[in-house]
Amino acid sequence: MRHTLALFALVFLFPFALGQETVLRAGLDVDAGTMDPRLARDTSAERMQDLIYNGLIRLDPQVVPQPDLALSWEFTSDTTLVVNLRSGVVFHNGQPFTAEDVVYTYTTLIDENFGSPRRSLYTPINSVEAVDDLTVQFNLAHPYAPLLQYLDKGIVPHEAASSLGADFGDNPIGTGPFSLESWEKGNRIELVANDQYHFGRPAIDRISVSVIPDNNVRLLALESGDLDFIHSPVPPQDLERLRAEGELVVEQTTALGYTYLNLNTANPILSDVRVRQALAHLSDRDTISEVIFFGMDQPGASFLLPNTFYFSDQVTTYDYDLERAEELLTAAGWVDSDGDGVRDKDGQPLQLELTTNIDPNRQQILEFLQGEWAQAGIDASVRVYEWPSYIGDVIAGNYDVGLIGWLLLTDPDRATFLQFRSDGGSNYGSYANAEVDRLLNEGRLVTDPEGRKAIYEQVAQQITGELPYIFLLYQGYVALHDQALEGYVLHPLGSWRSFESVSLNR
Amino acid sequence: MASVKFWRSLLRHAGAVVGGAIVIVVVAIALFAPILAPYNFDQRNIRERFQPPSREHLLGTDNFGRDTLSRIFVGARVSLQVAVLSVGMAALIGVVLGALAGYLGGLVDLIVMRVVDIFLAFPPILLALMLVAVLSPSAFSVTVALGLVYWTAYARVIRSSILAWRQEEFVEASRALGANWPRTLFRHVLPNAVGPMIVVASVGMGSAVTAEAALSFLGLGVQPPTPSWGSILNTGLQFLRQAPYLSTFPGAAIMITVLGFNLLGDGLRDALDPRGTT
Amino acid sequence: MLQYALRRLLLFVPVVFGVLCIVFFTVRLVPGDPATVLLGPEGTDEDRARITRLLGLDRPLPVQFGIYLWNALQGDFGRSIFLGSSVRSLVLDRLPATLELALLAMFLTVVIALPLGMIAAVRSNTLIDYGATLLALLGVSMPLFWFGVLAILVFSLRLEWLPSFGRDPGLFPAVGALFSGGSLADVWQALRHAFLPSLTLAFGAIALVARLVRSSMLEVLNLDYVRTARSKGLAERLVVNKHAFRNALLPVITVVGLQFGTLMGGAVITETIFAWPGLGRLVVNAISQRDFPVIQGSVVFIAVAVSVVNLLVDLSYAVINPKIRYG
Repeated sequence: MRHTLALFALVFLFPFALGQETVLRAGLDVDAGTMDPRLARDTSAERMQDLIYNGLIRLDPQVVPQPDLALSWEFTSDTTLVVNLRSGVVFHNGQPFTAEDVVYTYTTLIDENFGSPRRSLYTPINSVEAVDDLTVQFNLAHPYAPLLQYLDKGIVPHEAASSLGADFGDNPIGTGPFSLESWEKGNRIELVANDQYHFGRPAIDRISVSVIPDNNVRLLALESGDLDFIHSPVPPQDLERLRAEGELVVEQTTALGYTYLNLNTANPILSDVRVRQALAHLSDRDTISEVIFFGMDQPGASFLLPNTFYFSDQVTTYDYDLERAEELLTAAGWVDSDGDGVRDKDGQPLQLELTTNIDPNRQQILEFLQGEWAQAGIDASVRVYEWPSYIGDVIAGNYDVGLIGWLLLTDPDRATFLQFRSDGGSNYGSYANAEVDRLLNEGRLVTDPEGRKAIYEQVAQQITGELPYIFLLYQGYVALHDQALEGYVLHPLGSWRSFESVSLNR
Repeated sequence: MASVKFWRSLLRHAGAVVGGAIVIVVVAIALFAPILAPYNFDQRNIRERFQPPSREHLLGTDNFGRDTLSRIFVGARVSLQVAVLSVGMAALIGVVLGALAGYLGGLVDLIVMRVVDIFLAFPPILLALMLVAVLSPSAFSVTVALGLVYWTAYARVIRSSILAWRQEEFVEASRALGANWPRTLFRHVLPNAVGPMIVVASVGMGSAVTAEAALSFLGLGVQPPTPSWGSILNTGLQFLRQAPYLSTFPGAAIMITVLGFNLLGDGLRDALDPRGTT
Repeated sequence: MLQYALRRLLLFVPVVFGVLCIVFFTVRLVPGDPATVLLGPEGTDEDRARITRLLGLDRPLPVQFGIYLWNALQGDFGRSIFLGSSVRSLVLDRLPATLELALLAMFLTVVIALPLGMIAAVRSNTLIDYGATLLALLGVSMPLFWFGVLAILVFSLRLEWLPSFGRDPGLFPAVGALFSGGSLADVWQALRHAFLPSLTLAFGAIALVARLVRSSMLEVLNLDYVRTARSKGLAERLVVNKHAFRNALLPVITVVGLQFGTLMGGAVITETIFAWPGLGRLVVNAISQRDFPVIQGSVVFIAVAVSVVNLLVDLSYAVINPKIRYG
């Protein structure tokens, strides 16, 4: 019997085992919107960028720029950055990589007609020019400290991208460790190892990415052995069990993002800073982190993120304090004069609407806050609706208290410049503070890191004192994978770049 | 309609009796939910969350430590309210349009029946999904959307019973006598159509309960903290692995209720059917 | 008969137009627009205005509708705002997956519901009947998404019998490949992937059809000629199989055909759970992104497909039963 089995294995399994390529099967929650890095707007598009392209720099897990296609760089003046490029790099289509490709990538990125959703990050760039085949020069309108952090955009080949036009997003060509083999939209992406990869051909032959919208089903697929790798968003409530079972590797770090309550300061109730402070005291971050996120997302204090150079705890924090909140509300003139359990002022009840987009965890946060706020006599209603309607309302200033998050905050500028300046494009709640405006402009001009750090610490102190945002959580990033996957490096941006050097030892 | 024969045949129908009993119990729970519920449906106790069923909490507690039994009781109220109102709305639209079509005939009939065709061409859940998105998710939106989706069946029933009735001679007589048509509608047509309509409504109640749950799954359901069966089930499914009882009980509540309405509908159909095949 | 068919076809035009109208104006009434989604929270007002203009969404609605209609009449349903591809190719790419699921679901419906209903009818008002009826009714009572998730949990995770998600390689392509040297293993693989989603999809229909089979069998069994056959001493099995079953089948075929619309609706949820790349998921995604051309194109396509199937069912019914009067 045993012999028969062995024979069977030899005859039937062995040839397969020999000839089979190594495939990493990964799961994503949504499909990439495009494979053109310049147009990337969702996290899945960023992941494809990690695999298909190289940027001038790449951000290491400490979010520090490291050479990628750039060999070195130097600010020759406050407004001039010269970058020396790596030689001998070729695109997937065999074309050599040159300075022209960098010029083309960044010129289109700042072209308003090109329509990059991240254009606002690059607008201080006046022009990009090729000094020679392997040297480019960025000319800036004014000193722009965060620039280097943003130079991780994938470089596209000039000729192919310009001739393909809008179709380039479906037919990406980069210099990265993998190239696109096929893309069944909304369903599956097949990537194959790039034999010519400058930093050495990847050990795995293929990455097969499946799009599975339901968080529970995606995890079930991993646990059933139909996938090898999934990452955030994952259901936080399952992490404890997965760790205990020990069949999968559970890796967790803080992500470069925060979740916060956006308080609309144009709302007459919320225009009073005492009311905002009361709400902060009523929003128990520790409980939200523990009860809803099972510790995956940590209690937040400001936009200065832990595990980054700019982190600081010298900010005002608001511990859960019902009494203090009630004092503040009373001081602001909100008292329950008619004894109906809801505070009122000048005949107006203290009513606020808490809104967010459809997401099980966010919905739970609002449900939790609603109950907490009610204890202090606030009549809060909850509305959870679709992202396009919700974000449309928020952008239009048509909300009271919105629960949102900011992601990919590779520089403190990214978390503040659009958000807190009085004329910032993403200052939905009409927050205005001349000192913050001044500091944020200065933060872009000062290039000395320690000096910058001091500036953003001041901004954080202002913001946490005046509370246009109530910072609830530092977002966590979780990767779950099969034991057989070795060499994967957890990255706070959720980068998949390390797939270039992983192996699968089944 | 409420003849002795009807009741006798209904009460002899095992399915109808079981279904009717289920429906009565569920309706009673919905009506008296606040009295029957052992706890306030939104009373939280984080320290006692994810409790399996026990003597204090017969069906366990949820992710905020709320009593599942109480939430299911109050959820019965919300889910049934959505179902009753949407079925009522569907019936109203259906009766009005169906009566117009059947009675006026000709162009009106043609137009109304094309509108019916148009609505029938949409998969129900898809149309409901779009309508709820337009109205922004709430119990009200779900009700209106389901009402707009399910009216066609009533229109067809009314129209065909008018057509059938019209062919009978005495209508011509009553028309000749100059009776105004709304009166004939209420006097003669509706009483005859009530039977089939009740059957459609009974099954429709079941569909509405499951449709509400489906919309909750797609994120477009009743808003918290108000619990509906759909939202309790959907939240419970998030915790399927660590607390299966959180989804089992609301799921069972939906199943039993829909089963009740269907059994009752079957029984009514058989009791109303003169051929009485069972 | 031909005249009837022609008339029905003619009436089809206003129905399609009506569907188009409803979809077009409903999606534009939904708050939130594609430019906002495209540019995300960091977009500026100017960028949003530019994109809106670029997409032609700044024009008055009737003008937009007119342009859309004009292009649609020429077979151009526009391009997806988010996916770039033409709506026509998107819909045609996704169609086989959904069709495959719907056909398998119909197959499962017939295979499961027929015996269930027949047993219930033949053993009417016995425990077997009640059991079968209850089983059938439970199907229609269980929320699809709950069943789907439980099915994955049991059959994929615990028992490890079936894959948990996706379409791989797809039944149609696998069967097609058989003619050009494909292997049966691929067909088997495709069936394994399709089994849970199509069962989930079929669950409701099974209940409905089983009940219908039961009642229509009962009706036929009580008919005169069946009674006569019985009284002539024909074996019960022969009566059931030869006379009753065949006649009871007609209405069943009709209803199975009419289930197509319901199945397309169920696909919206089933495809989301099982990550099945069909039309249902395409529509749900398009709605959640406000991808107007895709919503319009795919919903109209689904609606037309459902109407066509309904029409075919009507016509075939008329053919089978000449006594029917064409209303």
